[in-house]
Amino acid sequence: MERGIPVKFRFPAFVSIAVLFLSPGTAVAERTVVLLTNEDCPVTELSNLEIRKAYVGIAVASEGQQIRPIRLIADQDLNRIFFQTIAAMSEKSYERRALSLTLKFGTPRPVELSNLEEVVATLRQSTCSVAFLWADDASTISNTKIVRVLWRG
Amino acid sequence: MDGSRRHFIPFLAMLGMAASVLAAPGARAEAQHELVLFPSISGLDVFDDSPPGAFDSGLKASADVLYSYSGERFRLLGEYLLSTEESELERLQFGWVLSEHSMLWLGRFHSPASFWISEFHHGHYLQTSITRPSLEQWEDESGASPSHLTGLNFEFDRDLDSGAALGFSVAAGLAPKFDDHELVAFDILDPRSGHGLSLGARVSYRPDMFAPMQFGLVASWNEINVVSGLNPDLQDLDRINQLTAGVFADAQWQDWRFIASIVYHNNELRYIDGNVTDDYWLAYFQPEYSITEDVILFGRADIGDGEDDSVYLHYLPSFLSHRNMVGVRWDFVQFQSLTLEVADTSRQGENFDHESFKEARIQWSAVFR
Repeated sequence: MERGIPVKFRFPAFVSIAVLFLSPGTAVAERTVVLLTNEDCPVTELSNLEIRKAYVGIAVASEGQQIRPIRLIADQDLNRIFFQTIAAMSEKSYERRALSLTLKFGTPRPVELSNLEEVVATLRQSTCSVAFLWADDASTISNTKIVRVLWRG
Repeated sequence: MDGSRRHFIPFLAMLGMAASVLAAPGARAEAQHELVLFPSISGLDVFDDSPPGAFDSGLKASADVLYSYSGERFRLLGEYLLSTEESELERLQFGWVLSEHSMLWLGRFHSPASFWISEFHHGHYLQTSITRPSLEQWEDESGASPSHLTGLNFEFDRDLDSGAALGFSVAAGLAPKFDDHELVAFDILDPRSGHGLSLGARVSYRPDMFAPMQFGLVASWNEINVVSGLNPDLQDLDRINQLTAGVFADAQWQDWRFIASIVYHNNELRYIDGNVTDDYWLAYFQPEYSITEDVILFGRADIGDGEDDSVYLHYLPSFLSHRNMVGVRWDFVQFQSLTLEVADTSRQGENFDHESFKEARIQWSAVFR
């Protein structure tokens, strides 16, 4: 006697479970990455091009303010989203570019910080620093504002 | 460079003092510091009838230390090269941020009128090959044109609406002197008079502001004063006026990269009893092919026209007039690479007689920050 669910019923069951897990707002919560800045910064919005330029070493000013990019490098998922979506280049190309700009012009890299507390402190210290963070984390940081939604997944 | 080793400690002290001042309370909160180390260890073996003493087989270790401070309106950039053969302050430049797109530098910097030099500086790790093209050799490695200037350098770089970018760099400063058998750049840690004027410029166009591909023009005017020293051939030579003009390209297409430059040189040698003018072309072409992201095959041909008969190059017997080279580079871990290179090389030699030999090189290079 065969035990368990007969074969002809297994596939629909698998599909049902998969749909349940993949449905937005049900089994897997949607995650969002946002770009955050100090609420005193007069900049209200930055384009994707301006954000990319700022993070790959091209000077960007908006509303008369220099944009200063910050990276939280301890979060591997954020790093992956950064290279795929924000810098739009491989990690190797990004590193070579950053090194080359420093060697040629002394251009500083984005500020690279290893924990959220440091990111928060730097955002509060500098008027128009920007940092990309998970929306969940960003919502807990006071005196800041979101200038762009960068990624949803 | 001989005699400059003693300047390493003062240089470090100077950098330390500058860093302390700039990091002190009151300095801008937005200020950033970068310290980057480019170490390398190279092995060289020379075959055939190599000219004695010119290219000795052996090991060479070097560390290029780069420090930069970047504040709201001010930037400092220092580069010091320490190796088993020399110790030299390569760059020390203070920059004012004039606008979002432009900067004015004061100090000692690398000539903008040279693509390779102003692209890779002393960062061995960032250049694919171990050796540099003969057109782009440093002064103390028998380079024929100035690579270090001391003076002012204006830089402008702007992205265009099309997504391309345009760069412009123009410099005016003190040229090297021709001392005995090579060019000697102005040393800001050991300043002496007697240097002439040097003007240099570079214009570059990048079709994609985010990619390294670029094309451009370079040009320079150099008044190179001559110190005869122990070289009797230079007794009657007072000055060399040198004009250079050329083009460069750094192009990438799929797995290929092509780096090339061709530069025209015109030298007016001003002797006590008259002038002699010569001119020649120097060029190189370096194709690179990426087998994988971490393994690159490359080669380079250094060629010229008219250089064999140049009176000016006759005074530079170690100048590398020709080199055909192939090599392979392997980035075995992040920020570290191993490179092998073999070459068939000729140097200018004495009395217009070229000296040919074969070289094999191996190099470990890295970057730490």
